[in-house]
Amino acid sequence: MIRSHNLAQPTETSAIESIGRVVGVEQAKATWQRARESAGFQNGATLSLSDLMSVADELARFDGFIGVMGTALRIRIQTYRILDEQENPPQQNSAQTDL
Amino acid sequence: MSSDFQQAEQGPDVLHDRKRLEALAELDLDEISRDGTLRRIVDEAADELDLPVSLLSLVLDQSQIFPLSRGLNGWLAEAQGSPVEWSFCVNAVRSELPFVVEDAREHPAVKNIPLVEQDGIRCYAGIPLRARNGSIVGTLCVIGPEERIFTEDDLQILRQLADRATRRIQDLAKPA
Repeated sequence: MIRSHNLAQPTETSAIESIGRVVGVEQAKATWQRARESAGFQNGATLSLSDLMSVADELARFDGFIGVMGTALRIRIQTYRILDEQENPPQQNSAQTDL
Repeated sequence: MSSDFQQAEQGPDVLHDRKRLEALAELDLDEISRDGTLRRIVDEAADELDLPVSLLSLVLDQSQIFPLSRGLNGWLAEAQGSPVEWSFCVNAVRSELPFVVEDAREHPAVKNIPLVEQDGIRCYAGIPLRARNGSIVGTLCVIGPEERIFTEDDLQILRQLADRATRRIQDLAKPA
C-alpha cells in the first residue's frame, strides 16, 4: 500500500476483477489466462509486480478493447512502482553511505 | 455535491462500457503522442489560459493516460497517467459535460483525491472529447496549482480547442 496516495498494490486478482467489469468473470479469467500464457508464466505460479507488468504488456497487445484494458493496467502498475520507489527509496548499503 | 456528479454516480459506469472502450481501441496512442496538430492544441490550451499544465487525457477503464501533455512534473510526468479514481477528467467523461474546478480543496468530487491532497492541484477545466461512435474518450484540460476563476471567455477558448482536438482524434481513429 502506498500510504501517501492510499494506493493498493495491483494484483492478479484485482486485474481479473477489472477485466470482469467489462466482459464478465468467466471471460475475464480466460482472457487473463491467455495473456499469462503469452507472457510465459505457468499455471498457478505467483506473479510479482514485474511479472504482472509482463502480463499487462501482453494484454495491451491484444486487439480491440481488451488491449485498452491492458494499457490501463500498465498505467496502474507503473504508478504504483513510481510512488512505491518515492515512498520506499532503495536503501544504500553501509559502505556506500560511509563514503 | 454538484448535480453532474450526482448523475454520474447513478447507473452502470460508463468507464466499463464496451462501446466506449472500442472507440478508445481505435486510437493509436503513439500516433497521437507524435501528432503535430494535437501537440499545438495542447500547447495553445496552456498558453491561452495562462496555466502551467495542459493535457490530452484519455480515460480508460481503470486508469487515465496522457499521450500529450505540457508542464507535468514529478511522478505524473514519469507515469504519464494515473489510476482513474484520482482523475478529474473522469467527471467530464461520465457527465459528458465540461468539468470545471476553481478550488479543488472545496469541490466535493475531487477534494479528497491524492492529486489535490498530496500533489497540489488546485484548479482544473476539462472539455470532453467525443469519438466518432459518440462515446466520450477523454478531455482536453488545463490544470494549475492555484485557485482560479474560469471566465466564460476562458471556457469558450478551451471549447474551441477541444473541438479541434476532437476533429483531429476522429480523423486519426482507425476503425477495427
